[in-house]
Amino acid sequence: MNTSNTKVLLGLLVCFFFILSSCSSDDDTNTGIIPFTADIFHSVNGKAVAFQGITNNASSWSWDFGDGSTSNQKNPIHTYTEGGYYTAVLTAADETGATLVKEVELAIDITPYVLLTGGATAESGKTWKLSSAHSEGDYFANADAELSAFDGAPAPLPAGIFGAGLGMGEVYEDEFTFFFDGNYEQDVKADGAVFSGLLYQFVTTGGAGIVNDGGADFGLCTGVFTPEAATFTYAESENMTVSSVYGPGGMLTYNGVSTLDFSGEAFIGLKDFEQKVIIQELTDNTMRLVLFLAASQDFIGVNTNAVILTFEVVK
Amino acid sequence: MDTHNHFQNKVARYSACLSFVLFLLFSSYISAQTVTGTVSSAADGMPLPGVTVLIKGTTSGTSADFDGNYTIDIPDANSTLVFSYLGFEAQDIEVAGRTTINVVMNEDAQALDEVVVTALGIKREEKSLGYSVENVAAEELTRVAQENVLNSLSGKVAGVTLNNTGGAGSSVSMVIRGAISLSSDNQPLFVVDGVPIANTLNNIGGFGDRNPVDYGNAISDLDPQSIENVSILKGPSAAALYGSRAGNGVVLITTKKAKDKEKMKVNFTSNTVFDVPYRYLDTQSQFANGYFSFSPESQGGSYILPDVIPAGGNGGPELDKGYYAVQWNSPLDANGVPIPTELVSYPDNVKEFVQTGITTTNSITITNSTEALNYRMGVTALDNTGIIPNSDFKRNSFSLSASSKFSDKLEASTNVNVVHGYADNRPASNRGTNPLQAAYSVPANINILDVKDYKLPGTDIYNFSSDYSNPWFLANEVNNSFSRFRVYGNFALDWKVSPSFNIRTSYNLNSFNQTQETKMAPGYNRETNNGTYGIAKTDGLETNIDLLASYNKDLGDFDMTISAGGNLMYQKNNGLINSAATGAGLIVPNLFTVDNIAPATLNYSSYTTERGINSVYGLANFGFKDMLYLDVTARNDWSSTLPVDNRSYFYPSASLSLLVSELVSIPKVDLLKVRAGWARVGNDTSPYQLSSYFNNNGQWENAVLYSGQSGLNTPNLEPEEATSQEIGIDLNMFSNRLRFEGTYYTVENRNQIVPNIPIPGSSGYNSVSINAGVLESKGLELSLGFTPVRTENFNWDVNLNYTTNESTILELSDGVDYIEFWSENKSVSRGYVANAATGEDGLVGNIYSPLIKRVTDVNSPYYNYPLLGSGEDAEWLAQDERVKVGNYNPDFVMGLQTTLSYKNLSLNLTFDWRSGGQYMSQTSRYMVEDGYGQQILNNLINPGISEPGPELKQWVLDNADLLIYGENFLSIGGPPSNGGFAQDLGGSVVYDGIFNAGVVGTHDENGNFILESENLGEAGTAFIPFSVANPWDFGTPHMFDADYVKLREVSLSYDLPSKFIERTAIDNLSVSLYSRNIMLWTKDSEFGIDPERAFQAETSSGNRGTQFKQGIERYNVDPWLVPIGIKIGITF
Repeated sequence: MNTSNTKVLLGLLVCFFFILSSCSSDDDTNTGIIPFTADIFHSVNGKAVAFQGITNNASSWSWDFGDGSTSNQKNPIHTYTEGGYYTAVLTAADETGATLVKEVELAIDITPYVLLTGGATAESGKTWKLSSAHSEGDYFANADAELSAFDGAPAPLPAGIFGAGLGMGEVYEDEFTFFFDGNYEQDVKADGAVFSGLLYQFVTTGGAGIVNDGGADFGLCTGVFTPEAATFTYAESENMTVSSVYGPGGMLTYNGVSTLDFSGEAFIGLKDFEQKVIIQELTDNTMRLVLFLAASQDFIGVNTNAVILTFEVVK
Repeated sequence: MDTHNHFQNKVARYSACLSFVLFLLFSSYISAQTVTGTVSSAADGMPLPGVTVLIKGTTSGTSADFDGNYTIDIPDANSTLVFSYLGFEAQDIEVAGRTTINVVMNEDAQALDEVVVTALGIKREEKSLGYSVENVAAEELTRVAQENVLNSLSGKVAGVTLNNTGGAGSSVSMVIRGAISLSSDNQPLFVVDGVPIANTLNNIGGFGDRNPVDYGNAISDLDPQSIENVSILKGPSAAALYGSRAGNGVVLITTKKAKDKEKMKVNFTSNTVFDVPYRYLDTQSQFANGYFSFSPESQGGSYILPDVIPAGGNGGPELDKGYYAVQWNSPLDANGVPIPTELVSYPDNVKEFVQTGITTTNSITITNSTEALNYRMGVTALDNTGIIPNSDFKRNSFSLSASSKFSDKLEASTNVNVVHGYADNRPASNRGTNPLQAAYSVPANINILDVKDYKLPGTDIYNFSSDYSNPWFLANEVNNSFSRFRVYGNFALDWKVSPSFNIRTSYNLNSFNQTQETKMAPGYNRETNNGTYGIAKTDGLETNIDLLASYNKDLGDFDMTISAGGNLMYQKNNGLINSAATGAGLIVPNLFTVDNIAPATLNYSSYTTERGINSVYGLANFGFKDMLYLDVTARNDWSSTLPVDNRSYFYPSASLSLLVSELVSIPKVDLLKVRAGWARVGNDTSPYQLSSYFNNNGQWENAVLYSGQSGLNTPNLEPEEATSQEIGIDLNMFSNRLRFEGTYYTVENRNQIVPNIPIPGSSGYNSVSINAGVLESKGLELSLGFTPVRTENFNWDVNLNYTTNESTILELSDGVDYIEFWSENKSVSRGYVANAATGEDGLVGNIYSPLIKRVTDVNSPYYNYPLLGSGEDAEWLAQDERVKVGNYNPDFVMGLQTTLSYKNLSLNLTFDWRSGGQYMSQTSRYMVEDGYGQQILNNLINPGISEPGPELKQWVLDNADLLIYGENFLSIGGPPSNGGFAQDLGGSVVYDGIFNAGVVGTHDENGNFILESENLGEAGTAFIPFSVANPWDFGTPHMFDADYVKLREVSLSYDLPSKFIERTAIDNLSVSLYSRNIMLWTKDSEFGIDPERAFQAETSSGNRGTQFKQGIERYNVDPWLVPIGIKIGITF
């Protein structure tokens, strides 16, 4: 007889002869001691930055925003007067007087092109890769006007889904580098292959190029790709027309979107018929792109889906 | 009080006068002397009303009045008076000139003449029976209140298996002596005061996608308070007189009636039970939602982790560690960006969801008897609030039974019962709208109380994710209501033509009208079009007209009774069902009418079935010198559901009883009886199974489509035929302080009606029903009672019973390899024919499941190593073949009942022990797969070595028996805090990796193993996150032993001493505290499934009709309860 049953028996006796009391056996509670920690969470809107001091066991918070301003609030909001790169520093102290210092680098009011490429001074450009953590905005969509969520996939995509779920963890390794001068480089890493549409691979290589078909259920795989010298084109706002099984006449236009396009066979994120992508969000550290996918054998080359994925900076 | 006494006295006087008048009528001479006195019981000193007082050698006599007083005129002062009363020893007392004789009657210690109710309601002395009949008396049924009378039988009766789906008002399955029919639900026939009540398990309903609701079967309509006696005719020998309806045994229920010459009594009983939930499924609350267990280690030291948004998997970051992440309900900062919040655990989500259930049952009965009329009337109201929020059940029962003697020879009796059972909402079971399933699916990092207020403006539901159902919504807005009126009763005439010849005829009726409705608001993710609505109205009627004539003759040493009779049975069922097609929903939300369903998606149907069985039967009992008894019965049935040419079936039986203790006197032995019986009974089929017909299959353009059935009906079906033999021995010793009864039986069931046997599509049909096979059941039923202490004030009784049964398939038809009972959980339950050559044991209840696929090359160094998938799929591969892994039937079941009484205080305990057998839990399978179940953590082993390499491999090899050769499904590694291996996610590294020990490779055509890679802990071993550790392709990780011990009933009751109440109008006042169905021990249920509830109530297909799938469960997971009940009974 296990202990909880014994407890129950005793409990029963108590209940029976005395009063109706609680006879429950409590679950084990986790009594691990949480250490003193400090981290910074922030968001930027124009020149206004909302800071959150994410701390355990801290009793005071001291912020230096890097422009001469300071604050003692836990979660201050600071508006910078000038654009530029800043380092904000949080010094948290606990009751014993011990302190922790954390800092965050901020790109305030920087143009999107500079956010993408690192600016003119970044000689080795700015390198991005698919974020395995994903974000709340990442999901598998239909290629319709609303980019509605595709029924058969989890939305948002869970962290590491392409690795744990589809067995194609290597897609998180490939790197994409943007240079201020418009040049573009790709590093496909050890497998020599890139994230790609399964149908695209069948159509273009007869299936010979498929390296890992773990994502076949979603029309995804990895396929052989050899990068060549290429350039990219950034448009801050344009009306982008793409093929879509959901559009009239097989075409759909997304108005007023930021886009990235590439020369030759170059692409970012997902190698498929459509190489132009929509930028949904771009910050100093992350960008979220809409990557189109033509996955229907009945409409070869016409987009049926879109994978909306977050990329992160490789430091 | 005074008026009451006055009334009583008046009635007493009236009655005494009446007795006197009657006496005068019978007397043929003028009395010489008058004797008066009081008769009382030796046991409690209470007066005994109704004792018969006869003048020896004459037919003259009288009986004692309400207060035990009698007055008799005797012809002369030397007469002898005979005092007799049922259950007491008769006494001869010489008057010897006395005028006052007070008599103390002793209870009949022999108890040999115990009268039991047998087939057709015929009362027989138990000693004369050649077969086993089990009796359960009223006090056993009501000592602890149960909403369903069948639940009161648990642990008390040998040879009976009971299952129920849950709380008050749910269906209860009763199977006697094992399942002998492969096609039916094996439910016995219930006969209540002569009214047959079929108790099939087909009242699982509910509209909408996956909304299965149990509305309770017929027997749940019975009011346990009104039951006097339950008599279980277990074997065909006992039940043979019921012919083609007796295949699964018969349960005779006798309701309470007013007794002759009993004074008026008013009885009030009040029961209140609190069902306190105390144990829940063993879930983990250590990890948040997610597939990867991120930690500061994986985030460069930051305590801010990637977003934790509910989307499958529960092996996310560890909780209560000070970690932060953006969660489903994160507040927004000034820029509208969600802020990370602390990841904390809510281990009591289900506990917060359920509530204490309350059931109150109040009943009042009035019994009275006058010379002209005996009657009992009663009303019982049951009101249940379930442990699931917004669930209820109510049942109001009205009963009236009366009998009246027109003359000495003619008596008319009737009893009428009206029951109204209803509920606003019966919660769904199984999966889908089951609120408990949804409550258990709330990830540990989410507080279930945060979504309790789920109503948003419009029809939207506030929830933590659109992929999950809100349990509060399901409980409150998916309402499965029902209302069922049942009327049953009879009218009977008994005509004593002569002292030895009597005729009884009766008309019996059982009918019900039921309305079931499902009202589902928008918000359930499988009914996304404004919810759904459906209504079903079903009516059932059964009438029986019986005639039975009996003649008995006493010829000195010989006595005999011969009876003959007939029965006309007629059944009619009809129904009308309207609902929205699955997923089609309603035109506007929250308007629950049929008109609100778009015409194109309205599912509509109606049906009517009729059925009749005409029967004649006869029975003869012969007794010789009260020591040898022979019973012979015969019945012929003509059933409308069978083809004309073979619709007539004959069902004979014979049984013999020999009282050895009458033959030879054995010291200390009160009774030694040996008995044997042989019988044949049947089981016909449902209506309309003989010829094929067309069904409306919807519209095609403007035409209506009619299509044939996919199953071919069979014009030459025969009834199932069960032939049984039983032998038994009864032994009572030491003035009945030791009581033993043993029965061994075999039942051979031929001509099993097996539906859905596949046939070639070229025939135009997919399947056919056939008569096939031979099934044999063997079993042993033992009961042992002893009374270690029996004194005036202190009494201790112990009764034990033991049951074992085994059913084996001896034959099936050609081309039929097996009968499939269910296919779930990557496993099947099938019945194969016993065959020594194939090693198949033929047992019913076997469970077959795949084992781990292994290296079969004996020359390989990896011989017997598990084969794994490669890369991210480095999980155990399953064999293609399934092997027997268990059987859902118990080895034996044992019940123990003990009563300890001291003066007015008594303690009753009933225990129930089931030994052997297994069950599979789909709840466990789903919950471990999704990472909710604690088992996912329990099956991880931390090797204490953090890096892959030779050291780790050596550790694996050192533990090879456990990790390689065993079928244990243990993974090596764990979460970040407990042995997790590094997993490279491409850029970030998570420390939550595990691996399964085995090899990757193939066998060539010669059976040689070709290794592709080892997965034993060296470099190259494939690590996967622990969140996906559950081996989905196997059934055995979620199979458990079903052994348990339950405290079925415990009650402590106190009768207020009469000296306290005698000055009041109250005759009796008792108070008791009780509890019931408390799990004391399970052999193997860490997960927390009640093994007794390991079945799925479904309207199943396959080779079986509607049934409870045994040995498999899916979300039949009410928390374990500690009920606390109090009962107060007052009799005026």
